[in-house]
Amino acid sequence: MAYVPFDNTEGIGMRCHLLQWLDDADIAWVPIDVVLCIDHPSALVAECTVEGTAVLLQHDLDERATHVRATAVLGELPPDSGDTLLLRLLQTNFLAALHGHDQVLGLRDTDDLVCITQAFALHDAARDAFLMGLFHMAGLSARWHDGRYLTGGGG
Amino acid sequence: MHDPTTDERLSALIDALAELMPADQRIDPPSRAGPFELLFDVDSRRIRLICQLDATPLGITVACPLGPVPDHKRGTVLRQLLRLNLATAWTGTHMGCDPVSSRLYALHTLALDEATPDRLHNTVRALIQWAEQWEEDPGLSRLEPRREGDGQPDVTQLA
Repeated sequence: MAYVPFDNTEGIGMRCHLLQWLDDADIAWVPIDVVLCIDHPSALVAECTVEGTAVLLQHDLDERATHVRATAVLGELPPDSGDTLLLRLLQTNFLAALHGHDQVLGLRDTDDLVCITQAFALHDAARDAFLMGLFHMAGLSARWHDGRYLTGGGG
Repeated sequence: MHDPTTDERLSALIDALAELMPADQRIDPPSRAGPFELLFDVDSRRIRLICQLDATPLGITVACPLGPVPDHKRGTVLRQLLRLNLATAWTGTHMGCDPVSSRLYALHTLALDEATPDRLHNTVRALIQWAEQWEEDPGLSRLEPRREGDGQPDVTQLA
C-alpha cells in the first residue's frame, strides 16, 4: 500500500492563526519543544509572556488541531491553607463545568504549583476569545499573587 | 429549511443518545425548552447532563458522581485529584466537587458544535469507568509518586 502523508493543512492553518494572533497582540513567545512525527513537525509547545505572566501554549497537529491549550501558573498553595483551599479549587472546577466552561484548576505534579488550563478554538472568529482568555489568565495569576483569588479579599 | 435552533439540536442529541443506551436505561428528554439539567441512571449511577444556553461557546457538560470526599487521607486525595486534573486536561475530562452535596464528580465538557450522540455516549461510558476506578481505589494510591526504595521489601516489617 502506498504511503500517504498525513494531510495537516487545516492544522497548519490553525497554527498560522495562533502565531499571527500572538504577533498582532505583541505577545512574545519562545518555543520550548517541537515534537517531530514521521513526516512533519507535529506538536508545538511554546511559552509566551502576557503582562508578566508565563503562559504555556500547546498545539498538536495530530490531536484536536483546531484548538490550542493554554496553561498558566497561578502560584503556590499558601502554607496555612489546609484542605479547605484544595476543596475550593475542585468546587470551582465543578461550577465552571456546570456553566459549560472547560477551564480547569489543578496542581503541577512536579512542584504542586496551582495552575489553570483551558483549550481555545483557533478558527477565524475565535481570535478575541483567545486573546481575552490569555489576559484573563494573567489577571488570575496577579490576583493569586495578591492573595485575592478564591478568597474575595482585597477588592 | 432553517438551521436548527439550539433547543432542536439538543433535543435531537438527547433522542439519539437515548437510542444508544440499553433499553432499561431510559432517558426522558426535557419537557420544556431552555437551560436544562437532565438526570438519568446508567449502571446505577446518576449521570447529570447540563447545558447553559447563555454560555459562549455553548457547551454540554456530562457529570458522573464518584462519591463523597473521603475522610481518610483527605488532603492527599484532594491533591491527587488536582494533579490528575492537569495530567488529563487534554482529554477534556477533569474532577470537581459539588459545593452543595460535597460529592466528587468526574466532568467532561463538549462544545455543542462538536457533540455527536456517539461522542456523548462514549463520554458517559468513559466517566463511568473513572467512577469504577475510583470505587476500587478511592485514595488514588496508584497515582501516588513512587518513593525511593519502593518495590524493595520493607525489612522493618519482616521481623
